[in-house]
Amino acid sequence: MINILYSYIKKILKPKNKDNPSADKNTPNQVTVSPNINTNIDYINRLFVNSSDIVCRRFKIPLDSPVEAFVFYIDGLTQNEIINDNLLRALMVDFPSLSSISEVDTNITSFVNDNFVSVAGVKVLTDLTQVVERVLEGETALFIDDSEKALVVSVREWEARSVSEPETEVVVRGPRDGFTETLRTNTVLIRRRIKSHRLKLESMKIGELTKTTVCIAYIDGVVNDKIVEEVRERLARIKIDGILESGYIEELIEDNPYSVFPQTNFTERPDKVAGGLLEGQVAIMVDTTPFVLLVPATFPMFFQATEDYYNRYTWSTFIRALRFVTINIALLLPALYVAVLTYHQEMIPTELLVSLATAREGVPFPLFVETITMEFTFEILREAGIRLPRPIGQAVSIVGALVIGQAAVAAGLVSNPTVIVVALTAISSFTMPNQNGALAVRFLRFPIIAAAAFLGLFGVMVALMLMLFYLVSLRSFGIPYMSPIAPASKSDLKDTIVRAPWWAMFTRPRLIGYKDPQRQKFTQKPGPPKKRGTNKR
Amino acid sequence: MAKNEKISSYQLTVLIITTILGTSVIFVPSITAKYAEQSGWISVLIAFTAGVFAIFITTILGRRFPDQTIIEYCGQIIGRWPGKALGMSYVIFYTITGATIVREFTALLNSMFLPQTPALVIAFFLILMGAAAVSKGLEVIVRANEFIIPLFLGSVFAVILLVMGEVDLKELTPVAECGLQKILLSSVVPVGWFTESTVLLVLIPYLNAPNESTRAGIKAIAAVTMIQIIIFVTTVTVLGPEITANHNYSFLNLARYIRIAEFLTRVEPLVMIAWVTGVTIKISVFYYVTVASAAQVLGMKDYRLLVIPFGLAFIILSLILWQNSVQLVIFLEQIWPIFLAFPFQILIPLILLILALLRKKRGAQSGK
Repeated sequence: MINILYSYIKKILKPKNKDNPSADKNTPNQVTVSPNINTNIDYINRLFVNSSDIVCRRFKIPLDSPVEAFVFYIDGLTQNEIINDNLLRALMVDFPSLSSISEVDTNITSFVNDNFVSVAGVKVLTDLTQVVERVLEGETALFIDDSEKALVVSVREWEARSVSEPETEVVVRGPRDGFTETLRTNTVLIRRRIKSHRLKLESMKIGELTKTTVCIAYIDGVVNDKIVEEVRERLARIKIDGILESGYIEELIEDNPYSVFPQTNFTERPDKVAGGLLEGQVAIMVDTTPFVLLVPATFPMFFQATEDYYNRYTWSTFIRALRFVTINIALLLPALYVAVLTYHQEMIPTELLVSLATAREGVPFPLFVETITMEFTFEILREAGIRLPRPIGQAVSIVGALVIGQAAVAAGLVSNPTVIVVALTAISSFTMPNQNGALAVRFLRFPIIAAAAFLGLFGVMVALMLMLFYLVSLRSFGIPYMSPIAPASKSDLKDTIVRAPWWAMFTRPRLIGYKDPQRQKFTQKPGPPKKRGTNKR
Repeated sequence: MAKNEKISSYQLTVLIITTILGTSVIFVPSITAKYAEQSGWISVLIAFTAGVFAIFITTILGRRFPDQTIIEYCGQIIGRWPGKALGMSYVIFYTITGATIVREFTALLNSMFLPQTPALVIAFFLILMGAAAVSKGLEVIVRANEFIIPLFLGSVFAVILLVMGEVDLKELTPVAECGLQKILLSSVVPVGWFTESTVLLVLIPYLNAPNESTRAGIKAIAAVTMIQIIIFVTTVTVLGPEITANHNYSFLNLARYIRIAEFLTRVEPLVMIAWVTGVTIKISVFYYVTVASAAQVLGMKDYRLLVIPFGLAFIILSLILWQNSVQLVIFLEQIWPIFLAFPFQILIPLILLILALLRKKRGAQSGK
């Protein structure tokens, strides 16, 4: 159904998108650096007309015959001290006193680069468009007269949020650093965890206007090369004016774009990304957002939290079982409530049935209408609570608790059992560690309630079976979505339903990290010292 | 016919388990108890031998033609046109079997849980599930089954465990009181079910290791036999042979005996839920086998065009072939096992195998 609807929408939209709308309209053709410094300045001024954040500082290198030069950067994206100390000061003060002109004459730009620019990241470029691109990223360009080259010095620094605890994925035990909006900070957080040359960070630019840097991270030798190749291809295929968040990329690279179920995992936690990389996943990091994508993602992954791996395995296993129960509650409880009370009253013990019937006595609506209205009301409250500033948020919860919780029941519009069911469903839906997956579950409970109202428990089963057939047909970057449950892999179940102790997790996930399946030595099970008395002395 | 979908031996084993148990769980206890009374478990053992025999015939025949289904290779064995006719009759057989399964389940739901819902609606939704699975391909059916089998078997065993308090083993004695003849008679129906593994005739080319198919099949039949015997023993020892025989859905009646802490009672809708999963897989398998063989008989590249016509055929046949549930029971006990299951699941494959051996026919071995 949904597929048909979407293909219809697609048909409507198609004619509009026939040709590529953002085909380099405003980007200039290739221009080389001119030996005449004035040409360069003119060119830059023409490009950046009406741009108040551009700094073009002209100065003279006071040799015997002074040489014209200028630095060009964007205010606020650079470290001004370094420009002042290591470029301007070096050239205007130190340079003339130290060098003899004869050395300088031959090629002044290379000479300056070799001897005076005391910054590590320097590139010598001849292409002016490239220079402009780099300056827009926060580097500083230095042009010297009579030279066909420009020095591009990497002195990026801008106001950025510092590394702080991620708010969407809070843990009790575990590292508290989270990704920030700066890509370089994020790669550092990964590199600090995986200090190996095998950690590769490929980067590319996506977005005709935003030129967002997107970085593909993986561990060479662990990752399935086909998946990396697939990620590269799918990213290279993206032609769009701008990427503002990794959500754009997520929707542009999915295997099944119409699906309710997310096929990429996202996280703010570097430890989660590092863990994924170690298992053979590929991370897609996008500049200007703290949310990093992990592919391929399978359905069971959405029920796993990083903390599962830090807590004791017995507890983690229990928590995973608990989560399994709560997911089923979030998905099915309202539907089962409707189905059992409408079609299968014989299942309910008599006393309970009597009290339910008493509670519902004055309610004017059918159970289905009552339940779905309450569920819908809850979704409204939730959405209102998220977007509002905190002080107003309290008002929402008061309205929710008083009006929906009490007044509606007192007025006889809804029954108490329905409120309890909806509340339990709501709380359960919050136990999912991954919001991406939780959204799918929350969305799907509405059609299942409808099926329950239509055909009772059989209807619930029809809906569930259709969902199951759909789930097992999905793939994420070629990996079956329901693996390792279906297709089953015994060795991977140790980290799916249960969480095996670390000394027992010998292998990486079979389908994702099969290239280097063994991840640790087999004989690591700890125990008391073998010989008596070895720990004396 | 593109056979780029592959299923593993483990997947095949659990697929056969669900395919057979899907309906036999509910019906076999009462049907066997009708003639053999408390000794019905012996009939199940007889059915086991038949099932193993069928597996041997099917897989030996299938392994001679590892890349082809029976529809494709029967022409090579008995000639082109007789082969086409045989293929067509297999399609008809599978269609009727599929319709039977749909009707069995529709009748059960109608009589036990949804008395006011029209049979057409139930049949439609059953076929909708089947069509969804079939149009997504064999791999999807197989994987969904992998997901389901723990739930399905788990619920069966949960019922058995929860009624353990009511078991009275004396009901099983005297053994074989009714005589060998009646036991053989009562095994006719289970034999029909246990030889349903012959869907392998169509599925063998999709296996990634056809050589393991015999072992996988026998494992499945052994598991089915064990579960079926446990179910029979529990049903008879709890309900007694007479009540077991008198109820069409004796296993569901068993669930009525469940009483947990005086609170959770009458859980048979929950049993029904688990059973829906098994039946859906069973329907999907037969649905798939039907459309796949039909596509091959008609020489079509893609079977998906046939999904909707055959779905309609299943629904209509399931509604018009039997006037009422008495006819359905008679059909299930006397007509289907003898005139349909036996020839199509044992006799014809056996004859084809003998002919293939005599005429030394052999398909192209899958070259590596």
